[in-house]
Amino acid sequence: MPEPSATELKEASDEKPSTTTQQSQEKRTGRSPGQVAWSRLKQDKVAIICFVVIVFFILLAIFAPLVVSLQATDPITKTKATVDAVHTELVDFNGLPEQGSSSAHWLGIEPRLGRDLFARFAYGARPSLVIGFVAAAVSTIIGVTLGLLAGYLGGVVDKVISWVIDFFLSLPILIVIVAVVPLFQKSIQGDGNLSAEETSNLRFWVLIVVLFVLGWMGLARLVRGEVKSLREREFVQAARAIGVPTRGILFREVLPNLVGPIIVSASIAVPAYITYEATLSYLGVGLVEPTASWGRTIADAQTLFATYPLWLWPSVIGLSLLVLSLSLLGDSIRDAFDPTSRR
Amino acid sequence: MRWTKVLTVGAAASLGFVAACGAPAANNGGAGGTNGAGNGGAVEGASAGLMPDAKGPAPEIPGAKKGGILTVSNSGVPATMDPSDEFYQDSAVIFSLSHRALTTFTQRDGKTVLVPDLATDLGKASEDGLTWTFTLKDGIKYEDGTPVKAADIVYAAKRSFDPDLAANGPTYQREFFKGGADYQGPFKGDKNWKGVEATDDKTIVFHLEKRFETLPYFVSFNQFTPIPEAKDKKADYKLHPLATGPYMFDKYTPGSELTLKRNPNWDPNTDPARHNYPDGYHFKFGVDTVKTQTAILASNGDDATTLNWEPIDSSLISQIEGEKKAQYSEGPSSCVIMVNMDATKIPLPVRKAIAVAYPFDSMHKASGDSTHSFSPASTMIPPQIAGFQKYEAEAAPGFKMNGQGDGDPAKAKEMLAAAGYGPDKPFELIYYYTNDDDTAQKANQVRKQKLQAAGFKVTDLGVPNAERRKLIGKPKGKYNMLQGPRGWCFDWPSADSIIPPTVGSIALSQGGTTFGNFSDAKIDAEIKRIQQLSITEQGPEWAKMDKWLTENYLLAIPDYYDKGNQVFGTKVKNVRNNPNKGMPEITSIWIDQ
Repeated sequence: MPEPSATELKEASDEKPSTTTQQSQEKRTGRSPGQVAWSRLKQDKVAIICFVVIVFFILLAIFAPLVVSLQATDPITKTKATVDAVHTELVDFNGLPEQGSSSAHWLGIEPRLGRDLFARFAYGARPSLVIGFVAAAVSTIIGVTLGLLAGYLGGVVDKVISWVIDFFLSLPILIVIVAVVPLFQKSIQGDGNLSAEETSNLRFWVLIVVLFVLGWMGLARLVRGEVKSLREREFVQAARAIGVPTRGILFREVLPNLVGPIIVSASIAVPAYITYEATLSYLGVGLVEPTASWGRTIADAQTLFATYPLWLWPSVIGLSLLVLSLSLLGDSIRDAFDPTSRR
Repeated sequence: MRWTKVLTVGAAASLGFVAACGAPAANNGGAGGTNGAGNGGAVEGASAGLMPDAKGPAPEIPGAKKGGILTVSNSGVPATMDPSDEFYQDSAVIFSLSHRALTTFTQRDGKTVLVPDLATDLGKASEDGLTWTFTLKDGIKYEDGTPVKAADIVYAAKRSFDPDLAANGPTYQREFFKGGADYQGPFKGDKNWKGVEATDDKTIVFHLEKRFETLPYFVSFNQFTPIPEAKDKKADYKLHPLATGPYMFDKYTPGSELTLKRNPNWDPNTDPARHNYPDGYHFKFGVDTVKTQTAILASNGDDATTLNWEPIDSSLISQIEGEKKAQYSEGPSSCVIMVNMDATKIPLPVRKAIAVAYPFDSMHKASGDSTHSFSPASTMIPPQIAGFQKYEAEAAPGFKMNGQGDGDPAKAKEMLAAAGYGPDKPFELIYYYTNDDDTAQKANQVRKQKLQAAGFKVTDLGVPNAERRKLIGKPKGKYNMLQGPRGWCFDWPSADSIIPPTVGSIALSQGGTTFGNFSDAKIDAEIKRIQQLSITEQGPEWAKMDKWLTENYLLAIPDYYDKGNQVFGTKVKNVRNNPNKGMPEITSIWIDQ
């Protein structure tokens, strides 16, 4: 595959520092894989739409307080809705809301507690996105680093890392997470002196850690395989022969050839982690009250779906749309980076 | 919300509450009045009348037919099936079919009465009240045909002291039996301990440390069902405890199911309390409540002969209030739920401010309670107890504590200000809540915000349910409110199984938490005075003490009277709630085939 990158690397090993020569060479040999991918992405309508959807949710999450404050003042409570405030006066004695969506509550109010559902929805995008992106970033860094080391160094290092990869891959992830999160939380918090907010914050970070600890192996294995084949290529051997240090070889020679697979893997990891966060919150081992989370809302709302569907729909649609967009975008990126695909 | 309702009640409970939740064993007292709506008004039928001359067989139920298998499906799993360890409502109902104790509850003329079961009468007390004698009936046999001897009941009573086999059982025997305080049971302790003895094959004698007027109620517990020493397999005995009642264990798979079949050696003529209409019973444990209740209401196939006794799911309320009304019954249970406070840490004026601020309605809404699961309470003693007197004490002039309304934050703020607390120096409330259950978490959000609105500083410490039970059961905890017990379920329908175990220094001396965690010489003296009275005089006196406690001490705020719910298939007949337990009166159910 990496015909162009081989050229690039020849450049590097030829040690021609002048930028003008580089530019002239680029003109001659064409664009870098990244540039090719970018120009392809720009023409991909699906990718553009997905990108817009993702940006919408990111903006919604960032500006949640502002957007929520656009709602009108509630005539009964005489206050503007916030994400946490409970207003049980808005629900009847069996816990059902006495009103549907209104100018004060665009998506209605939460049964039993009377919290504003639009605020819960907007704020609910935050943990999903933060956990998705942070966990994907960290697990990508870990996966790439270990994959590079195992593939390039070989020998004992490779054996140990491969064993660890195999070991982690053999764990049934969901079950392990369900078992580990409470234990992990307990070992951090000691003898139970955290308030609801502190518990929720702790859970948030525990989730990120658990997700990347259990999520880096696929990429590590992929990178290891690629590196193993690249290691024997002429440009790497040449670099080694002229005494480029290992670090230089790894980061200047090998890594640039892996940018495609890594970006693809990361872009697929983000929606996967978002799904995991929602799943775990749904199962009760994820985020806890009072943090708003789509997974929790879905878990709460499903029992009352028959009588109050408005509770369930926004979170389900939001989650599906975000995950679908991220996945499709990841797919488009993969296509864009694939030298064999022609559109 | 499936089992969360069970969980919140349980979660909220201390060890004491859970233990006491085990209503009397072999207690098949009938439901006189199954009036559901109950707004805290008087409830008929759980009186504690004594009927020492009741004779078997139990009076026939008009129209009842024999035959069929009754399936009982619930999400709860019985903790144990060892008679010595049995102290839970669900296993007590099962044992009421298979096991007979010295006395038992049944229903006569619409009233619940205590009748002799294995004994010929309700016991004879000596003049000083410290020696009680019971005589066994003739012709009582185990399921294998061997005769029941007095020594077997004595052995079972001793076995109930064993710290391993009977760790979760009741503790009245420790308090009242002579030498019971530190007795370790027949295996670890003295085999010939003299607290209970058999003077011959038919006579059982109880020696007491102090007067115990309600002993005849206590010996209706499963701890006083006979266990033959020669056939006791200790820890494995629970797999097949030998039956004396109309049914015996057929197949028991702990954690999933139990089937009962007819016991050929049960003689109805000796039993004034039990019927045996169905051919057998099939108990299923650990099922999904909502699915089960939905299927039972649809009543197809086996579901038509199925019974479920868990709180009705809120999604099914429209059905049981409408066309499926005949497949549902409800009534009071033995439990009163309270908002507990630590009176050693919160001064009385602040306790009253909490009572004014407490958001009862909001808490019910947030917990998913429906009008079928509770009725608001204003007393510590539930209405079905003999001598009950309704009162509504005032926490502030014009503010009645009746478990209703959503609190008055403005008034609470004023009261706090009068007590010397204000925005610059708020009073801090510290409590534990369950953080591994959705409903409990949400309810906590409501409680926290509403108490904060009344000017309190709230520190909510979240811990998993199992851990919370331990933490709130320790007398010297970090909390200053909501320690155990969350409420109290009486063990027999008399207030001496409610007030003495929950308030005062005697209750505190057993090592657990109490209402208020508070001891006071005046309270102790009053308890002692009433306990010396005869059983018929005690009722009104306990009721007076209840009112006096709430008005002058306010150790805990009355919250609600719990209710029992039963959902059953179209072919299941004569299901009535037992107001002593909030469980169905199972021995009088029959199946229409």
